Amino acid sequence: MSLEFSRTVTFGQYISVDSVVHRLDARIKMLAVACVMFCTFMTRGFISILPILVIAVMIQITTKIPIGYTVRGYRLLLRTMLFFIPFQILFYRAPAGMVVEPYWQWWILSISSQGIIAGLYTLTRVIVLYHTINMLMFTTTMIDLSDGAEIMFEPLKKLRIPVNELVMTMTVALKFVPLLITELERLIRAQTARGVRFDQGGVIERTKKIVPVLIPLFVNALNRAEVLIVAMNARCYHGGDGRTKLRTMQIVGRDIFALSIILLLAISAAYIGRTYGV
Amino acid sequence: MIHVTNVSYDYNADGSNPIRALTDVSLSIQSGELVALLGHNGSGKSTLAKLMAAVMFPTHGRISIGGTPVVEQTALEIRRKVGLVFQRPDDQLIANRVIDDIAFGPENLGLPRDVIQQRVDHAIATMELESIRTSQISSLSGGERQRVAIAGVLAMEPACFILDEPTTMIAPVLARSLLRTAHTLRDRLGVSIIHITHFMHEVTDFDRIVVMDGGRVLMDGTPKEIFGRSDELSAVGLDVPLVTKVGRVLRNRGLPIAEPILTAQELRASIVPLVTTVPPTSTTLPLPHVAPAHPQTPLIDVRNASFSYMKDTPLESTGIHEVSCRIDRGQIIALLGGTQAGKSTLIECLNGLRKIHGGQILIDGTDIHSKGYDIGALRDRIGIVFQQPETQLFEETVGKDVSFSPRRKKLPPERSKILVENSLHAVGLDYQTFRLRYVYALSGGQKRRVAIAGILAGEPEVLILDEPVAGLDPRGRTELATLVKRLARELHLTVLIVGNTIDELAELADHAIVMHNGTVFLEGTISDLLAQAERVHSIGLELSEAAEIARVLKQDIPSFPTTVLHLEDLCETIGQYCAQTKE
Repeated sequence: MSLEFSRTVTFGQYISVDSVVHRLDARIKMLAVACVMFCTFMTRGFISILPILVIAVMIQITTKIPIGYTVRGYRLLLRTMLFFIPFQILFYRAPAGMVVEPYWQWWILSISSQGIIAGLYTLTRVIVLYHTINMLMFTTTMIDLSDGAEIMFEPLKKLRIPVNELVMTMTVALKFVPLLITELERLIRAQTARGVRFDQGGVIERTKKIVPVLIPLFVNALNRAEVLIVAMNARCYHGGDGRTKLRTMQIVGRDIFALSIILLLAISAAYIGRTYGV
Repeated sequence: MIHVTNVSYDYNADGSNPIRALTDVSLSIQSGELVALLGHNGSGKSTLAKLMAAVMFPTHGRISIGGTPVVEQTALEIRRKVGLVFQRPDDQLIANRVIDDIAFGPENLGLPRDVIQQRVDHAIATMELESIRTSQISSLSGGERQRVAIAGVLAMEPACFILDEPTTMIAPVLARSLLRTAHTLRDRLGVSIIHITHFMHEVTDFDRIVVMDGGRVLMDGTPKEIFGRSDELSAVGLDVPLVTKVGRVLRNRGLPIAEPILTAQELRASIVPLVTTVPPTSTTLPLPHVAPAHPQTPLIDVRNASFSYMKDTPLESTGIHEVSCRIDRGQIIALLGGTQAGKSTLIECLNGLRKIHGGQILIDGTDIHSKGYDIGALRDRIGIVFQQPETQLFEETVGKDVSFSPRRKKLPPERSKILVENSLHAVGLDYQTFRLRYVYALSGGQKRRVAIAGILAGEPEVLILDEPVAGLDPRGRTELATLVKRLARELHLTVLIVGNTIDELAELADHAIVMHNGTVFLEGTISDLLAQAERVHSIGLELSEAAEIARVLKQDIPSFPTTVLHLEDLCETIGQYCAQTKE
């Protein structure tokens, strides 16, 4: 087994490449992602999802991130989906009025071309959703995301929701993810060196082997968290009140342009889906 | 500037059994003073630092910073006056990018944007971070991270910096550059700096040294005053710098050398006028010799091994590149190098924890990545004690943790018990006393011993220790080095010790490999390496404190050999050069 999780777990990683997408305003990117996700839910089939796929491919190309790296991150997701999709195909129920001629049928289970198409469509949808979020994370630094989120959720402050604190918590939590992954790798290596084979045994046995790793992982994480609190205090962090910011966010021409294209495609996808149901 | 008056501090002050960390400490520090706070772990120096930075508050007594009393109400005000730099930069860096992290402090102060910008620019210029200002912190080296951490504090424009053991975890070359930074900050900005450390040789050019022991201030004076009192220092287990000791030994031998000598430069200045003779042949000192090349197959044979991290991703980086080396049965080898040299990567490749991307690793002549090779059995043969192994203990009690390997191999209980008993004994812990102790209640040094015992209980043939003394105070270092030496001798193991100097383990190793940037830079006997101290110095490594002093002397006395390992060797050699003066 590979002991380099960070190599295969690509989710949430920022890839420092200089591309147009990287330079877009974080708020625009978040808005676009939210819109693409919403419209993806409005699609009804392969025809209506087509414009969304165009967006996905467009983003992939313009980010300049190697396609191989992106795809590698989808392995785990695909494996999970391949487990669920057969169920969707087997339990497929045609909408009222549609005539289905199954290849095979038994009790409520059946295999039909429509079922297979529906299964593949679901798979596409999940991948597109994952891809969109992934692309946002690949191309936007955590600070941009949190700054953007803070500005966008600013109105919630009126409802006495501590937006700054929540965003800071999120930022710090996400900062810990790569640290914890590195730590996990380190502990697993130490265990492997003491003869534990993580690549052998059944599901239960493998789970059992993980427990000894989790204990020091959590102990170390808690220690780190405690030190981090002291560090933040020592640098005068005292919540969002009276805090100013060095960074400004400015929406420029290319942001509007990019958002317009994405909106146009995404809305057309939703429109086709709602109107024609295909 | 800082006034500490009769301060005491109890940890767990409200609880049932408070632990006293500081007792009746009084201290004043002026603006622009460069002060070292010295002492062992548990001497109270870090506690004092935290009190001065208003991270904690005294149980008794008063502290004031620039006239403001340190109490909870004034904490924010104090924290903007006193900047705290942590031992590990990773504990302190909050944002992802350099510039954003430096801005974090000023942002918290609520400064206007243009002021923040100005301060950040200034901090970046002072710490020479221009080229990496927008880099991701995760992509930086340890030294760069530390500079960013300091810049982050600098941007808050504190009147006082407290550096909390910043040199404990880093290679000597980084430590030196950090200390230079401390001097620069003081000279250019006139801030006071309090540098907390275990190491005497770092602070010889400071304005003032405060020595702490057992929660009290033991001594307070200039380096000359403090190091002149070496007997009192050794009474509390602290040691004067090696060069000071050399000065004393030579003086006792009758050479006219002023006391105390604080730096190699001072020693050079005193010695050079005294040099009368150049010994006929360059002295060869009794250094360990390698056994002649064995005709047998090496135990470990690494051939052109390469490994890259995050291979085939945009984040790929080289770990080791075309490394070749051999280790024979029974050898004791030192694997040396600075950070990022590839030492840890190499040892993780040796037992297949990381699979090399090119080249071969042969154990007893068999390629470990060949088909059907039992890599599990290999890992039983090669035991690795990783860096800071104490953070990897996972069982509740000492006995359980050490018996992990025997239990995993399903050895009979009697056999397992013997192994645990012997392993604990080997690391100097009594089986009956420690068997049922809770791991989390042990001290740092004890935990490290338990971790080593856990590896020994697996009955390895090869023992690899990755930086076994890193992060310990001098007392802990000496104790652990003694332990490693004993283990190597008594257990007849093949041993590979990873480190960045050979100081503590020098007489143990017969062979050394120096790595740099993922490749083998030098290889040979310890005396071969010492002879090339100049080259080794060029990649920022120091082989031993004695060799380093010899290197400085060599600048004026070209024939002076750098093949000195210890105080005695060095004094002996100097004695030969100054022979006639002695008479």
